[in-house]
Amino acid sequence: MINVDTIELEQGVTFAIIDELKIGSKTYLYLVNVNDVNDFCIRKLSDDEEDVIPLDDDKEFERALEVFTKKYKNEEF
Amino acid sequence: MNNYKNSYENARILSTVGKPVKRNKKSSKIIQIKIALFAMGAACFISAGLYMKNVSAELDLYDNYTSQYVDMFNKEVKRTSDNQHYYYEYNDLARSILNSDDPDAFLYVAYQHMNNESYLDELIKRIDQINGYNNIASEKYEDWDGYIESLGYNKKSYSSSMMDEIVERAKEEVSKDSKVVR
Repeated sequence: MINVDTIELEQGVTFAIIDELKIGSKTYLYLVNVNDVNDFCIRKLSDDEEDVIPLDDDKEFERALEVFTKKYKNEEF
Repeated sequence: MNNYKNSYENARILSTVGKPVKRNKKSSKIIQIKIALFAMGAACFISAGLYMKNVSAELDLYDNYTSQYVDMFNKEVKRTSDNQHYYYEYNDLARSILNSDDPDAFLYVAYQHMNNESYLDELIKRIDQINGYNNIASEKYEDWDGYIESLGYNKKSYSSSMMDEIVERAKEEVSKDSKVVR
């Protein structure tokens, strides 16, 4: 077992934060629904780090996903 | 592939649409999850990432393969003298298609740009007329539907299936070229 932080998104669904990565000046959270691993997404912290906010557009999503994929693709889980 | 596509699309939408949520570290729960759940979650992200890479590589192949047809198609789009409307030079377009290396790919480009079945019907009619009913597959198609049915598709499947087919043709082309270089 491992400890992870969680966050509740809009519809009250609890997501586990499986990683936090800093890309440039932004911190991205990689979230997985604790009840359904196929339900996952990426959000980021606002500048004051008080809020978790959606990404600006598809480009930002692709960039954040690429960084995660590069970090973990050779990992053996 | 479809599962990866769905996961990727769901993740993309959930990541970019939504309201800000307070991140209150004091009230957020630390939970214990099984390592397997973490691994599966990470694997989902990686699959989506690899799917994205694959799709963008395939889109590049598609773009490279069809770019000459896009240029040729655009040449046959004319503007009226008052510049208010555009129209197609159907006969010239039909001739370009018949003379191209891959008429099906060229027609797919036309399909994407015209996006109107009556224009496509007219284009197929001109192709038949110019080529004496001995066109792309040596048969008369009557209209656009007849043409896509001759490929084994229907209106629903044509768009994505033909794109996949063009990507496969582009891959073959690349592999032929790489053999020649060797």
